[in-house]
Amino acid sequence: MTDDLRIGTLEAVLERLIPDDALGPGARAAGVVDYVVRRYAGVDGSAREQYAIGLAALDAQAADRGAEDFAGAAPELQDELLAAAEAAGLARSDASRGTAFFETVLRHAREGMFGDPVHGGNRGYAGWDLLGYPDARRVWRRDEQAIGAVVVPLTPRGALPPTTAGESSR
Amino acid sequence: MSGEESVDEPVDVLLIGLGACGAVAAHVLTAAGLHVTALEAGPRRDPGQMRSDEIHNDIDGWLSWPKAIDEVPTLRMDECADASPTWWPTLMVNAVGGTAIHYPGASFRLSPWNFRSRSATIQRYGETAIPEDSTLADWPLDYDELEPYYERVEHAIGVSGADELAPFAGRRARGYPMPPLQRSGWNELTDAAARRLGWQPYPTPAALNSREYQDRPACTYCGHCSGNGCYRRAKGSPDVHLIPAAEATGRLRIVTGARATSIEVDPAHSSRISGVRYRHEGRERFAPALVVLLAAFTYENSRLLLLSRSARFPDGIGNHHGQVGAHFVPHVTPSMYGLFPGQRLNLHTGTWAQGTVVDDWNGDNFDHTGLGFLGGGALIAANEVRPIAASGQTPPDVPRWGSSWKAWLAQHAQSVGSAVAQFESLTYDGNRLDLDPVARDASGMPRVRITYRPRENERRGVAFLRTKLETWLRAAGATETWPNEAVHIEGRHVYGGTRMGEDPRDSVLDRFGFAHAAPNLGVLGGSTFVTSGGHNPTLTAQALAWRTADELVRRWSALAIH
Repeated sequence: MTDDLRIGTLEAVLERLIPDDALGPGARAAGVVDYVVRRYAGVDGSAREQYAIGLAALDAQAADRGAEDFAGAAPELQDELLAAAEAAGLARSDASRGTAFFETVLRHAREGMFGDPVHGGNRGYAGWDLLGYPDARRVWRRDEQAIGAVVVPLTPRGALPPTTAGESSR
Repeated sequence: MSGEESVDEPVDVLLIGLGACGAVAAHVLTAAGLHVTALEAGPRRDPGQMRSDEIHNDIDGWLSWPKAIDEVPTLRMDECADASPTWWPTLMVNAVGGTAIHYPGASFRLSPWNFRSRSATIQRYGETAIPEDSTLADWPLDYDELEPYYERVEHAIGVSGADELAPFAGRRARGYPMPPLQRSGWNELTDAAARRLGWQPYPTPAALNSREYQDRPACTYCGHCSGNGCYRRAKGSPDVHLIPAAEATGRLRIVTGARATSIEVDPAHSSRISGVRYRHEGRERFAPALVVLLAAFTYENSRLLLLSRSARFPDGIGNHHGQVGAHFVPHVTPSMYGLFPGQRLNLHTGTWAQGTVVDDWNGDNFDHTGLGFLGGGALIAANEVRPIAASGQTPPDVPRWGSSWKAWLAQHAQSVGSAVAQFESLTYDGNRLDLDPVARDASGMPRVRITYRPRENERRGVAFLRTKLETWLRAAGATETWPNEAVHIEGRHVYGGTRMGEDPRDSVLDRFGFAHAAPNLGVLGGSTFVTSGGHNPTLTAQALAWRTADELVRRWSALAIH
């Protein structure tokens, strides 16, 4: 069953959705790939069939355009193919838009990037730091609810732990 | 009745569902000395289970998912189409305490106009102002009749609010038991902006403790209130107060994991209910009762009546005139985002019930001449935006992924505020609930099918309220605004299906909530509403439940034929 998952394709897709750049880690380093594989795309994932079909389609589209597969395509072509997948989803009716492959992957990527790190994503609080969200806490005082108030995260930030995202999900 | 069916001991009152309304009834009836058994499909939940975790609460929906997989209705927006699984939010909770465990506690009263919107509309604008296919009707009771029950619920569950600031409100005998919740920076900003526009804002009344109330502590504004239960019992949900109080009388028995499958008619008295069939731990059981109160969610109330067929009621109980499932209407809730560049709004803090409300565009608080729609809705600017949700609040001209998305989030994610309107949609011929002819739940029972199509009135009302939301956000400092196009039908604010009325030909229930066709059957919840109103519904549903229970106590000797 694990062979069904085109992990290289998935990594490449997620890394284009959330790239590693000057603003911080991308999907791989932030644990988003791990998160998506474990919960949704992998052997025990709740959406593994949709991923199998959707990722295979992206590989085929990349091959049609002369690349070996999606992961082997130039970033510009990868973005073009993803934009086409996005447009196809947005063209659907209200009722089925949310279940389009692109919308599914983007939703899962956002969960993995911005959800609580206890679920394996948002590694090193990469997602929360990007948003300026300090952390989940039980008490917010009135002065902390003021506009402009900046609170120091309770959770220690700093250098990301060494990532094993790619390896552990294979 | 099959030979394997077990029969329970007879009880005074049997409740189907122990949520916001069933709990109110259990509280009132046990206090009056009656013995009550509650069949609750879900388990008990505990404040110790509540986590500040967006994936656990909102994505996995750990509280609502067990009900959703079994019951989520199907939907068609066209009377001739096949129905498919509902894509609106229909998050409901099967549990002792019900959906009120995870509501954020907004606790509004309807205004006096809401109870007589048909006659008041005709009086002010003429009969032609009401769309021909609308089934708009006056309620069979007025605000003043419900007022004492609003007061009782507010004091029982604990509501924080500022009655002196709420314009357009009906007369009230007593103020709120607690002052309003802590005001956030966003609350103050939107309050000041509304005042500059000449509007009359006030704080959202909330079933959350602004200070210690009775034996429960104050809210700490954790930011994980809606979609989650309170970790410290600061929310006035029935599981932490009304239900324990009723159990303490020794007269409330709760059966968890009990799925009601039909309401049974007494073969000897064709207009009397004899009890309820249910499934429990894999067995079919029958619970005889002198009175049955159906207190499930709106969808389930209609479904169970339609499933309860007999020689006397071949189309379901109370459905001789096709009224069960009719007059169904959800709130339509347009929302707008605004960008406040450079401002850190801190909306991840607090609760949705920490809001600023504007009623100037609700009900008939403004002149509708020439507008082409009736009613309006409360505008609300609230807190509680969690990080995954915040990452999706991009304007339409900004990419939703990639490096430019990340750059936009880094610069603006903390600077997006929003406001929503609870538009009072009308009821229409053809918009209704019935049993899906194909789709079944996990137990093999037909699912509810929603047939709902918003009409011109809704299109115009939503467009009008969007301009007001935009005006408000801009007055507060937004440099850019955009609508949330995603979902503006609120499947959690749903009304009708078992309408109250005087005439059995166009309603299911009498003016106190008892079935015209079977006076020892009462129905509680949003399904009894005649109109949707322009506010969050729970407090009104609870006040009606208290009134029904009060009337049941008053009628007891006549109803309970031993």
